[in-house]
Amino acid sequence: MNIEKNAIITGANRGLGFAMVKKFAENGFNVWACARKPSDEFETKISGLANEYGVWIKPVYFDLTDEAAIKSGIMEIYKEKKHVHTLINNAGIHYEKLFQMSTMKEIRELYEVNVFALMYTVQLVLKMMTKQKFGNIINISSIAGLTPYSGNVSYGGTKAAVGLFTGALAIEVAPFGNIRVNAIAPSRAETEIISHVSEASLKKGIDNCLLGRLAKPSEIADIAYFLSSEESSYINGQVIRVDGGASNGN
Amino acid sequence: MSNMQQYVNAFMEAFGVEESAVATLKYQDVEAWDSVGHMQMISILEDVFDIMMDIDDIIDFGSFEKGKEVLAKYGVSV
Ligand SMILES: NC(=O)c1ccc[n+]([C@@H]2O[C@H](COP(=O)([O-])OP(=O)(O)OC[C@H]3O[C@@H](n4cnc5c(N)ncnc54)[C@H](OP(=O)(O)O)[C@@H]3O)[C@@H](O)[C@H]2O)c1
Repeated sequence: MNIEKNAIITGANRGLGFAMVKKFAENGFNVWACARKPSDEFETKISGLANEYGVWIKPVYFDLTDEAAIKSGIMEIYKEKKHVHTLINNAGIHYEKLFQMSTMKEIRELYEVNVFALMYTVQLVLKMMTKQKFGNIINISSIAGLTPYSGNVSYGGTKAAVGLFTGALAIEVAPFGNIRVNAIAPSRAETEIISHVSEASLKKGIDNCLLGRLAKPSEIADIAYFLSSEESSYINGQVIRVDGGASNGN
Repeated sequence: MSNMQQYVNAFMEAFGVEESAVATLKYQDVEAWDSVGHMQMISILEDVFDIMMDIDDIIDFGSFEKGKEVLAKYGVSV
């Protein structure tokens, strides 16, 4: 079946999300590039990519802490009546803090963006995928959701929730068609998110990694693209660890 | 095709029932109207009437009759 390939990517304006927009565009995907708020810089970047690769990349703006905004953003896409081949729930926030020094406000915010907004986005997008009877959902988790360490109670908890959600959802949506749900659990990658991480913690991450370095955003984007492609057609309900061998170094 | 006919067709398609059985149908009356069948029927209705139902309404949609009230909330009169 020759289906137009369109992807929804959240957190598309920078970091891993932008690398994914680029990777998908390079490979002929049109993209609804979702970002929190309008910016000329972002629009210039995506229209540059769209021109370069001969695809369309449309900005869609919504703040993931605002349920009504998520709904109207996804409705905008829904109304276009196009296939949604892939949804990448990439946007997320992070901090490393001792649990007993984390306020409930901070913890709620983490869960709001990393878990609840992701779930709500999936609920809405599934309406399109169940109708078309196919689709790929790719959630960005983290190795922090697989391995407990100090300072990781709150963020790690959100990413562990994303991992379990991924596996269980794959089971639930299976009766609705060829809808695969997978997650990627990266270790540290070179994006702004790690600017809040202490030197010591960063060094430990690099020391534990067999490759002795952080991941490049493109190396995570490559896996996201693989998971949305036919080459991964038999991978479903999995959390794929992409950590340069960090697990072996621990 | 009238809204009513499209509404009836959605039930027939989702649950594989005859047109004559549709009017009195309730959730779990037939094997096919389980939770998965329910979501399949909702998906057909959302497509046909170009709406996106909220979860509360999806849960509330417990029968053919009740469904008419739910659809009315989205400006669809059947
Ligand atoms: N980089 C890593 O080391 C690493 C490792 C493991 C997992 N991850 C996960 O990978 C994903 C992407 O992270 P990244 O490294 O690319 O981080 P990043 O550079 O900080 O980007 C985060 C993205 O999420 C968006 N975002 C955050 N809160 C939002 C909200 N309320 N509404 C809408 N958008 C929001 C940001 O938008 P704004 O620009 O508007 O803030 C930004 O686009 C996250 O889920 C992160 O947890 C990252």
